[in-house]
Amino acid sequence: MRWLTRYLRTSEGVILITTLLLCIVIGFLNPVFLSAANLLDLVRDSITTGIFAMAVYVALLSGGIDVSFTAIAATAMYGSVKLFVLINPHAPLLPIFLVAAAIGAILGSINGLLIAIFRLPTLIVTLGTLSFFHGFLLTFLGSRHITDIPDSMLDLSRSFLYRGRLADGSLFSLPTTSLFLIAAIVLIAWLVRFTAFGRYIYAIGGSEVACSRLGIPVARTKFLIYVLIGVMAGVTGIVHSSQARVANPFDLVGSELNVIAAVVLGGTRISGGHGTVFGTILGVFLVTVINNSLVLIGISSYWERCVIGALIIVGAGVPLLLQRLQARRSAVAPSSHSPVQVPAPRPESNR
Amino acid sequence: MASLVAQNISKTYVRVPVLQDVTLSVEAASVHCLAGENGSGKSTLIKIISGTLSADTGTVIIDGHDATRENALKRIGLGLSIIYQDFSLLPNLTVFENITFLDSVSRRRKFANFRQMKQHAQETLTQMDVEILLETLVEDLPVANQQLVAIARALRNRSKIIIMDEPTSALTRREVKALFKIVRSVSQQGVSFIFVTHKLEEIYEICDEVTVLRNGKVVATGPIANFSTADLSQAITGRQILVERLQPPAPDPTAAPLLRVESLTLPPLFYDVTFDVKPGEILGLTGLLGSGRSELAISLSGKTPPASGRILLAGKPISPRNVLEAQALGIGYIPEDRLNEGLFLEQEIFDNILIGNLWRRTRGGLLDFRQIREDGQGYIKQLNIKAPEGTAPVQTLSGGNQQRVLIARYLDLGPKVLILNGPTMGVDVGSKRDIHLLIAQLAQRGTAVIVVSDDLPEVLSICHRVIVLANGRVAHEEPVETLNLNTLVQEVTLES
Repeated sequence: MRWLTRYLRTSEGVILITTLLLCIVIGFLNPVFLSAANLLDLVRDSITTGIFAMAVYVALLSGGIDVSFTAIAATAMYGSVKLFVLINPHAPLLPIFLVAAAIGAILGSINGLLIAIFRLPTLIVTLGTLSFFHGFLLTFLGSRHITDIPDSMLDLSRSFLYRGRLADGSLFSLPTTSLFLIAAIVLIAWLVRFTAFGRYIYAIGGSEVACSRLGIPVARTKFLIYVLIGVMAGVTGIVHSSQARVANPFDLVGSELNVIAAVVLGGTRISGGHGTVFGTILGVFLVTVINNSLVLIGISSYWERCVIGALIIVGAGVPLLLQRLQARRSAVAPSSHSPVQVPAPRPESNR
Repeated sequence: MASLVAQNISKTYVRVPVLQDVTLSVEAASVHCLAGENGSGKSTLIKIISGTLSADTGTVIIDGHDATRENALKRIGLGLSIIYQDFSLLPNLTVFENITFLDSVSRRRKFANFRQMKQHAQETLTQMDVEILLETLVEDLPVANQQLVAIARALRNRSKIIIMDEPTSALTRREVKALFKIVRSVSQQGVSFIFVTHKLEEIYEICDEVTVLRNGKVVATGPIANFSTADLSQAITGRQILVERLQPPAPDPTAAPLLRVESLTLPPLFYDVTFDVKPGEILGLTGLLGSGRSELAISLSGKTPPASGRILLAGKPISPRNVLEAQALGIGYIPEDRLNEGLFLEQEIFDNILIGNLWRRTRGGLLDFRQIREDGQGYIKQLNIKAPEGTAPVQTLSGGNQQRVLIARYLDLGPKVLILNGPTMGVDVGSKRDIHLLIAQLAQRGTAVIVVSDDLPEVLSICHRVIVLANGRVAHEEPVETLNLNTLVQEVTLES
């Protein structure tokens, strides 16, 4: 049981409990919440935030941050859609996604260059490019909604992995686009855990100075991180635009903080080096539940932001407070620092 | 055969020669000490050997290969590892991943194989005869174990020569002993070590050979047996350092105690501690790590008030609840870790000295900069702080001068009782002497001084009386006149 109490003291644990409690309370007050229809709705609503969150998670893990991904997504989405509307509205999905991903990669590499080569602070760079990319989009690509998006995107929005009908006759469904979310989760989980690139990301988030002394290609790794984020943002743009069935250049931009909130809520430290994919998923789910479901139990939607704000402070703050309490206790009672000491067994070994 | 030769190395910075024709030759399977004061050129030489800095002239040969033109990464590949003072570990990763990281990087592995990493890490730890749980995060390890992980990482990368920069500065005596044992056994397996240090006792304990740098030149080199302590300390400092005692003037024996502590208890740290200090007296408080010496001092500073017992200041019982109250009452505490707990490294010397008492130097609610400059300058002169100017950031000073800045700050508070925890930790031999003299001066002015230290020669050198703590209790108390180093070492180590 020790590993459980210890787990529950981490940010991830606190958020897991909060999520479960919230689901139970909402489900108790309004059973509709726990219906398959509502749960699938939640999944659909979390696709965009979810993929974005996976990208932001990588940035935070490396000790950086990216706030420009929404502008990259909007630009890649609008640029790609506009291009195909002009040259071939009947183009299949793959080239549309490829063009968006390429635009994302180019914009991401601008971030990457500024951060890796010129070693500028990530927040400043991406704050600048957020505004710059979006302004560029509106000035040079256009500022009008495109409603006649390519056929293949419309088809994607109408395709479902699963579809059911409730007793009262209403439809519910799991959209095909949720595959993109799953792919993003699997990709990032694999990348950070099993590849050298992923371990370098952790290492850089832990100590950049140590990394450069160890001969880790810090600049290259950082550059690739922001290119990866750009590509993921580009793809997300098309997914989002398909779901919305419109290419709106004003869409997405403005939601960056919501995404970062979800990632931080999931226990990823803003100072880098710590955080899990599962925690990020929990964070995204929690934010989505709050955004969508407080209405179900009769709480005004204005409260959503208050609740999310409070949760960030609680989710990130409680583990810190527990840590500090523990540190104070051990300051009063220092463990004997015998040099070749065997630390207390880690939680895993008790399972 | 020599595993590392740095030959005829010279380096000049802006026309100032930092290294002049320095030759360092390290035999395989030996421990070589590179000694010298701060600013002697040790760090520059290490940087040149590591390949992060290029020399003006000279060659570097690693394990028989001429590495003079190779970059730092190539030199790691040739078997050179440097363990910096901060260890350069990855705090957020596990022990096993840290141990295998360098190996994985240099072999350009594209994927992480955790089972293999664990296996390799365990092999290396077994080879070192060390037991550390593989899954622990490095940031959760005690410092001594972090250092072992750094050594294990170098070994895992098949290093033939490991340079350790000030490896013992963060360790206690016991940890140092354990480290030396491991270094000894590893070196017998064919790995050579370079210890960069300025602690004389350690040089004798661990090293086979020694090279002393002073002002960028080699002033002594050869097997350690060829040098006496006096030879070495003279070589390092360039002057005759008295090994004998400072013998500060004795306090007035009839004076009433300034600070008296009765049955002070704070479980589980210390129990029933009773002692007193007269004005002008220097009391040494020593003991092994965990004996309660630091904890007692911290408690007296007001940070962790005792659970029971009495503290009397000039006969009146006091019970400060925090550091500020203790300071207001006249108890000053200079922390052990000056870099993290004491100084604002990036701020100027003036600010560092006067920060505790800025409110006294205001005019109409605004800071009086003229006063601040004058007072700051006064302390720099009084304590003989060597600095280009008072507005220089503290981090540009040497360890000894940094410590003086910290002492100046507490002097400014005008304490009746001054507690110094580890006053000369990480300070070179010459500055150490100066700080001791400073402490003696303070006492002479009527301050009651408590020196908390595990540096026994230091305790013998400057204190009037020594209290040895063991397991949180006073184990021994004796005037310094009747003590010598051997008996004190016995008292300290036997009591635990």
